[in-house]
Amino acid sequence: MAELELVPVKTRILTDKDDIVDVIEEYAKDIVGPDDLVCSAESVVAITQRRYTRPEELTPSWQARLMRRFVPGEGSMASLYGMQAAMNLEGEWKMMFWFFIGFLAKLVGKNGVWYAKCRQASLTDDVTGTMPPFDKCIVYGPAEPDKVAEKIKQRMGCYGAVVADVNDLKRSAVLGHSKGLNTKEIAKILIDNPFGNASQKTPIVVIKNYAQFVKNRKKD
Amino acid sequence: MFFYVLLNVVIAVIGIVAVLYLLFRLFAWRQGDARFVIEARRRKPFELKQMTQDTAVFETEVPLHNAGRQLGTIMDFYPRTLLPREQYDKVIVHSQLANKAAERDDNYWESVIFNPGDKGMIRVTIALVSKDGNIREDLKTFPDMPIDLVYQVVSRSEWYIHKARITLKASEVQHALEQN
Repeated sequence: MAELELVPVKTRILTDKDDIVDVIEEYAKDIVGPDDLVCSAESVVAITQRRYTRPEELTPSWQARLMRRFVPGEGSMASLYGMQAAMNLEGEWKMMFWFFIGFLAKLVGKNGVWYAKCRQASLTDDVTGTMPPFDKCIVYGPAEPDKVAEKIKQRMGCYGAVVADVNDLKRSAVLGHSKGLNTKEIAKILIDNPFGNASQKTPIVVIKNYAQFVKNRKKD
Repeated sequence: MFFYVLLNVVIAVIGIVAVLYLLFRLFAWRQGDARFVIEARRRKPFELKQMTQDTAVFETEVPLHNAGRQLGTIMDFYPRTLLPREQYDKVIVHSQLANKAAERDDNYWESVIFNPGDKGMIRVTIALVSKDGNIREDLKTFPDMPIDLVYQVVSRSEWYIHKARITLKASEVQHALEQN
């Protein structure tokens, strides 16, 4: 029986001059087979889409100045510019409204409302979030991750593809996927962060024999 | 009558907003921010690391720490040597700065987070290249050379650029030359 195997693929540093689908084909075409699942790190997909900015390019609003004070220090939203970057995509008033609702929800024991309603609040990485030369940039979440995943699948002829957000704090989420995949299961497989600490270094991970794994699980 | 009720409502709203603003300022003050201290006075003496016919390389290490109550990020850090040709025109100065905790040789500062109380150490390397090809002779008249250590910080507040100053002293250069 074929076993699941996670193969990280090392690439050059990717920039907005690159196309993530072309890069995956260039670096992983000899590794990927029809039973495999191709995973791509979300921050790298975002960088190739030119979805990043710098603190020097942002003008903080009074809403950002107010709200960042109430976010724990280690989060990207505690930074004035991390918060403003997310607001530029989500809207200041929307972020503020859901921040207030999220606060009320927290009082009755429901966490994560703000992050669920304002996705960029959870997807935006503040400076230091990625490796050089983007360590001085604030990187947003990727645009249309489902479409990106579908394109990767079509180009590579593999079982499926996902765009995943994984970190060393044992947090793993699939942001975008090709049709017919169990995203919770894939997030679990990626929980040990095979992309590495600085995801651009190995921004692609191939899960070998994933189709077999799914078939066996269905049999069981 | 209606006018006075309206006036009272307006004054009450302004009063509430003012109190909330003051409370927020108090909260922000108590929360604090990152505060980086570059301990220029506690730097190690410059050491001569390499000496060739036309080049002398000096190095020092400078401690720093985050004395604030919040974590902060040093986004960039670079040295700026100040040796105008009006003062001294015998060498070309090259400078590099590196984070000792994340060594690299490309003069690139990788953004790094310092939690409150975290300490660090930077290494400053100064290469003096003789224009005439005889560095030992040229350094006999080398003056004190100020070096600004320029760093960019971002934390809960707006980003800023600060400087700390160290000096490559003529006496240190002479002492190093005598030792070698």
